[in-house]
Amino acid sequence: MPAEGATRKVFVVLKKLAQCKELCPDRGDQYRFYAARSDVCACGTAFQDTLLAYRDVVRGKGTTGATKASAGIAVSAAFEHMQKHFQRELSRTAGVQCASRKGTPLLNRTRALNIACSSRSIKKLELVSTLQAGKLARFSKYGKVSGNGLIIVDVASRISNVQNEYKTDGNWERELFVESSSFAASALTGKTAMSAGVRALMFLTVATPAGWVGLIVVSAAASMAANYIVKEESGGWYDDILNWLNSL
Amino acid sequence: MSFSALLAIVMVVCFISCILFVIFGQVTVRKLRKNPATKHALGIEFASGWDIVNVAGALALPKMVAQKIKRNSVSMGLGQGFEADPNLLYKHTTRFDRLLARLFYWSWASSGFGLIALTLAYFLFGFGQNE
Repeated sequence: MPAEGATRKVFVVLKKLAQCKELCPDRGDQYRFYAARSDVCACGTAFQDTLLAYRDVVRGKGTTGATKASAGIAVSAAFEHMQKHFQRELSRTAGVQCASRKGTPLLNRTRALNIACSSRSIKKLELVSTLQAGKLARFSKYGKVSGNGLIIVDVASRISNVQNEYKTDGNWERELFVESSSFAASALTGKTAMSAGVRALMFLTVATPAGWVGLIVVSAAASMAANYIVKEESGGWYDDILNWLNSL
Repeated sequence: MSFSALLAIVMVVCFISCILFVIFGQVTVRKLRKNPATKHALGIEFASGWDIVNVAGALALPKMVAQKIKRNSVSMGLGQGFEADPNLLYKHTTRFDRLLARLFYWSWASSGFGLIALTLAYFLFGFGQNE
């Protein structure tokens, strides 16, 4: 059983390394820091290779002559090597930046925030760890939680309803009125429920993940329900409006 | 008053608020998005165009309430960028912008809450289901 536990630990490390590799693309202006430090990445890859070899040994599929102990020594040596390289790069970067009177993002949090806010100088923002890079990448996605995809799907299905009505020689103008008013109603209700709910969550201090999920579900339900009632009623409104116009 | 007539009134207000949404977005929020001083203070966009609602709320709600919402979001750990910043927006908007914000926000909020109330009345209390 200890072998099993060790394998699981190795898998966790491998997963982290894979994430780290994703954050180290070879090109791209924003990632020039990582491109210039590719030797650190190479050390990471070497470490990963020793870990893979270790896993093979634990599973009994290792190269001939390799024991668990020797594979373990190789892993720790590769790890030391990677750490040494990383620390060297870090001290070199910090040393260069200390020339600036305003300080360095590694030492001055306000400075780092200022640089991050100004999109022109994103290249100056050099991160200490892949963990920080990951956090920053997530933060940049924070901007738009949902894209326009859902709305496009919704609009497309509504347009196809109108087109079906037209093809079957139905009253397509009436269908257009029904679909567009129920679309406006459902969008408005969803937005109102969502933004009122955000404030409610904040004031009730339940802005936890469960609270957010609940809010999204409630807003979606409200939006669908509003869509339903307006679809039920708006056909009658259309007839009333036309009757009124004809009676003028 | 019948359910259908109440819903029709709410939908007329909804229609007006949809028009004001576009006008306010083009007149005021476009200007604020271009301004480097305010472009980071417009709040989170859950979906495209959500910042228009955030800005309208910050300008239309009483200043005390808007500031409280902003402080609350920061103290909840949601970050500075979550809600629009009323103090900054007041500095960079004219009186006309605020008038537009109030017209839009209150027509939007009243029709939104009206729709929610009528939906609840319909599904929970059966109001208007027998018509």
